[in-house]
Amino acid sequence: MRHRLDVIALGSNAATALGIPYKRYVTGLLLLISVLVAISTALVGPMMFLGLLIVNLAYPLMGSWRHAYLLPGCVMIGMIALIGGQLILERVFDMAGTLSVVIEFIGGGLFIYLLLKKVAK
Amino acid sequence: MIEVKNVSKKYEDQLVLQNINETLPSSGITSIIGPNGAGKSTLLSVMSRLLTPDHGQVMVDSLNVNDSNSEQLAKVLSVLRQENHFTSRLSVYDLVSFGRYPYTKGRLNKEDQHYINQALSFLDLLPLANRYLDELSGGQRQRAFVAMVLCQDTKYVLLDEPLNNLDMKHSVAMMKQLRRAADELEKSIVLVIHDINFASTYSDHIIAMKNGEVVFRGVPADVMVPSVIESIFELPVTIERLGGQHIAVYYR
Repeated sequence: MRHRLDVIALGSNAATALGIPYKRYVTGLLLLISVLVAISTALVGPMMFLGLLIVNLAYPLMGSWRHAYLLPGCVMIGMIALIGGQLILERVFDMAGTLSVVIEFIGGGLFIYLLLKKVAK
Repeated sequence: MIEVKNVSKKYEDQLVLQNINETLPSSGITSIIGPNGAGKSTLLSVMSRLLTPDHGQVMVDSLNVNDSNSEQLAKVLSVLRQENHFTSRLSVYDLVSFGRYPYTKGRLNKEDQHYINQALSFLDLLPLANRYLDELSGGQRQRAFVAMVLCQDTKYVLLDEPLNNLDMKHSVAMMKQLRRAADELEKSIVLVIHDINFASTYSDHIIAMKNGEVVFRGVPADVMVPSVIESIFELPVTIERLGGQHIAVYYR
């Protein structure tokens, strides 16, 4: 699976040329992702920009195109951001239960930044 | 053998391929020439299943390109299109190693490494193997992409303008390598190529396209005739014989 994701990241033409049934596989992936998002939303509630934030942190921090590193890297960064953030908020600033506000603020900022970057191109 | 049967393709309302019927041989170099917008790249994409035709079908050694197992086809036919932009930041070695994906699904073994190194040295890329693609010149990048396709080690190799961005030395080296691959490894190489003199001097067959149709096919000596070239490109040319080769002169 991780190798197939590496090939898919090359885009539809290259992936098809290397023998991946691109449309079928990408549709399957999207379905899988929606189920995973649905489950985590049901468990912890909505955090809209968390995914965007973590993924965009993971690419430069992991410094690799291999999903063998990217996927666990994403999980680790996600855990650090949430648990670490909660810890700092509760123990250092002595505030209760507002981490999602912080995450949404940073993630939303990043979203606008990425959007503007795209427009500028 | 690649058999193209009754293939038509439309973009919006414009017919870019009009009922193409062609048989491409199972060895040797076949060049597709023609003016801009003739449908050459579209035909190449249809033959390599990157585009689905509106009508007709393509058979590669009795595999139907559109409904046969894509994995199986990747071991028989490889293709490189004109524009390649990857979001992943890859080194040359990584890129070329992707050519082995159809065989070992990303778990590279000794044999794969042998193929990768062979492809790298074929295209003079060993000193650049660890460089990232975004650190290369256009010509070096082009060679890296061709190395990836050769590394796939398929009988049929389809290349869309492989000489893009290459200087004289590397253009000749590339054509010589392709010629060698066709002769020694008995591969069938299909090129979309703009320089008709390269097509004339290196190919076994030439297919000429215009307005979505094949207007001429034959060996270089038959195609390299002033009346034929003039009717394809709408440009006055003279054809010279130099050292047994047919060279078109059309510069001024």
